[in-house]
Amino acid sequence: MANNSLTKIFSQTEDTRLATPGINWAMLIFLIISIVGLGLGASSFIVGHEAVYNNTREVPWGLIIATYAFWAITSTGLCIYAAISHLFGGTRMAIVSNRMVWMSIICIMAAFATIGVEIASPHTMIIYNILSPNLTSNIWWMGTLYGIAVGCMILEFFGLIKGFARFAVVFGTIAAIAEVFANSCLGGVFATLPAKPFWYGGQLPIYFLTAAFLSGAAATILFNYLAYKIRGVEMSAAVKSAMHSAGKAMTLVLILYSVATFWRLIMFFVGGTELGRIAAEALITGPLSFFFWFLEIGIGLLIPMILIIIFRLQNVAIMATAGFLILVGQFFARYNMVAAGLLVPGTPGWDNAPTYLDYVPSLIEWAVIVGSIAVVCLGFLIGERVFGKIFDQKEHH
Amino acid sequence: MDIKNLEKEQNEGIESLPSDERRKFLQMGLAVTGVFLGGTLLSLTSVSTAKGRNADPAIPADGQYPYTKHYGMIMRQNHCVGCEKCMDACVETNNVQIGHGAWRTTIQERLTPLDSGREKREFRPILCNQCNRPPCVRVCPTKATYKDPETGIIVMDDKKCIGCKTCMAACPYNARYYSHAKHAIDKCNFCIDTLLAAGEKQTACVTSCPAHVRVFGDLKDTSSEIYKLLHKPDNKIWVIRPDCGALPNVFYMNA
Amino acid sequence: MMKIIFIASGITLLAGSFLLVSNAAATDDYDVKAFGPKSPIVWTKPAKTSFEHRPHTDVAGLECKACHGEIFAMQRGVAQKTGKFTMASLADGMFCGACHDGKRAFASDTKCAACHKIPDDPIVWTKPVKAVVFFHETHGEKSDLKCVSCHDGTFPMQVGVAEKSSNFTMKSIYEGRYCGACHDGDTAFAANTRCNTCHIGRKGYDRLMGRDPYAEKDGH
Repeated sequence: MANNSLTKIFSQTEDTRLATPGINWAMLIFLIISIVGLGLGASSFIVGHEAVYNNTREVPWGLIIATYAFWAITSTGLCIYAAISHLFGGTRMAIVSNRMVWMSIICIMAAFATIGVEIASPHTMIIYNILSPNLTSNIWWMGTLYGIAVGCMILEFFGLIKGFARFAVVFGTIAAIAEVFANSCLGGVFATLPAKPFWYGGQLPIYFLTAAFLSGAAATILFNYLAYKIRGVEMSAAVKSAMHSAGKAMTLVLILYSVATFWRLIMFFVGGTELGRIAAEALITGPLSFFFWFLEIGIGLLIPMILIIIFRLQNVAIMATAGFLILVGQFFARYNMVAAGLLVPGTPGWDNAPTYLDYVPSLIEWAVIVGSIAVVCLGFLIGERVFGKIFDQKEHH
Repeated sequence: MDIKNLEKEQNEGIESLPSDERRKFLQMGLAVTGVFLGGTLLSLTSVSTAKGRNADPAIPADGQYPYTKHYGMIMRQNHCVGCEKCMDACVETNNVQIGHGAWRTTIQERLTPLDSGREKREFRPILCNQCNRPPCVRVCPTKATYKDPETGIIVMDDKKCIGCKTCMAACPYNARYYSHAKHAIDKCNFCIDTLLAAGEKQTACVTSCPAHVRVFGDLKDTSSEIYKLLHKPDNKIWVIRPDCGALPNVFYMNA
Repeated sequence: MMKIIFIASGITLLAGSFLLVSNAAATDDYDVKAFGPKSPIVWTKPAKTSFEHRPHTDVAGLECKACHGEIFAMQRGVAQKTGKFTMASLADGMFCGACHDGKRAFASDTKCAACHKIPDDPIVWTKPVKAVVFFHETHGEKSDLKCVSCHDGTFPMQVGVAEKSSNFTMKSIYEGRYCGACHDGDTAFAANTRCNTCHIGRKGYDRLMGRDPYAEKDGH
């Protein structure tokens, strides 16, 4: 019965143009990569996290937390743009907002999968997050709010499939609010730790939210571009115009984000604590300088900016390229933020502490990251294949 | 008030705010931030009663100890010779599984080159500072780490620990580590379960120290050595990382 | 082919063993001018002391029988096995003291460094706590102290004797024993100040022994 109704729904939403062997193969490959990558991470539950991850007492977090933050922030961005479109209507991005909702769900799933293999006892989390909540904990709020958000987005998505517009808007709005607060708490996880001056302070939660708007716009353009690319179809004028809107948002936030990045770093060099300055120097001249200058600033901010200036948001492929580069830059920006805060020993001068602690992500940490990327790719393809018809509302309805 | 008069006013500094005003301001702030950082109602750590003395916010004002037995420790730092007998005693008493940076207490060493070509050598014992405003307790999502309401000692409820390691990142003292054996974060608890529970008055590290570097006791007990050292008027007392505002209960002095 | 390798390695081994044997013999090489072994006689108990034949025979003109027989057995290691081979017995005219009495030769309680070699710095004690260092250089060459200022009245010269005593504590130093004889705040800085001038801790000890002081102690 249930199966029948599901089949019925899918028959209305699926995009049979993508029922090709090529897409099936791609899905299979992404499935294998995600299972292997996350499986390698999950091996930590058997052999111990310290055996497979290069985290230590002094550097308890690293690449995996950064990746979690990256996917979570991207999810927030997608969810907010979709909610704004659904809630207020009329924005030109509304036409692709269903796809954004789906990809927001997928991104947060990738985030959960990533942090799932990073936390030492996730099963304990499920029990005691409910039985023993600590309402002063940013981690608790972040987890709970992202949980609420993903639940609401799934309901919203269900509403979108069934055409319950009001239902979808209500849950979409709740989801977006939850995502914004969750994102804010994610910033708060770092921002409320005075032990790490590089993180501590009121700017970081806003910075994370700005990053969400940037990553969300970039992801919107990239995923829509890919959606048409895999079908080999030209975008309609309406979708192109949606891309143009997203491109404008992306450009605006790119500027805001760059300004925020600039001032955030300058602050550490005009005073304040030594630990903050040493952390900032890790990016400017220290062990993270390549990641910072080349990947975060060069690939992630400057080249996209130049592409946008030269091509003026006219070419979707170029915009998608810029979006992709921004996402790459954002990924390393998260890593740089996490690593710079932790690489600085808390008590310089004592115990022959090096200026920077030695943390290089292990191969298994990278495998988890590749696995999480494969989860997003797989989720994208599943979405296009199974729900493709409802992703471009005005064209198919 | 005109501006010229205002100029003559001395800057009171934030530390000399009358505590009532400060409390009101805090309450207002907490009401605004509400659920995020926890109002007094939600707080685990009785923030309103944990405050610093005006002149030196890191040292508690005489008599202002929030706990029934308010345990703390003073290090007579310049007497530490780095023999690490405290570490051995701690490992043995508390069954610390050595490896992967596991320790509950350690001795830090600082070598400063001198003009003469020699080095100035200093040792500093460190352990969980059992803070009055503990960052680790605030950040724990599941209350797996909390302040014992009787003693103020920060303890672990191993079964609730999800291993998110936020408390490790939050601790200014690097006092926490993940114990694979316990599947939980492990940390110094002033031997509360191993020695204090058995009626002992001292921790393992205190008993094993040949130089009487560590002075452990109840700050509420005015006859205790720690109370006397802490409140002796000409004793220069300091704490590690006062900038973190954690209000630690481990103090340092030169004897 | 195999045969050649076998023979070659055999020859190498053989030549090597000859070299070793001749080396071992070298220590007992007879020096005609010295009327005794070329290399100095070295006693390690109770404290490191060396003796050269040549200044006594070739230079001072003593016959073998002057010492060997009554005073010193010809055989190696006999003197130090008696347990009486001490500065006290020398003062009583035994062993070197037979001549080194201040008349025939310089007295045995002078010119210590003529026979005793100052050990390499630093002296390291590991009991009762790890670890304490002492530099002869700063106490001898750079101050007015003589060997007898400390040895053996305050400090036994023999390695490990002070350390074995249950008395070798800060308490007895504060009472004026051992380092406390001078480190009383008057002659030299007081023993209850500047602890880490001498106490180097376990980390300092590891560093001295060429180990990484920050390595995990369980071999991880």
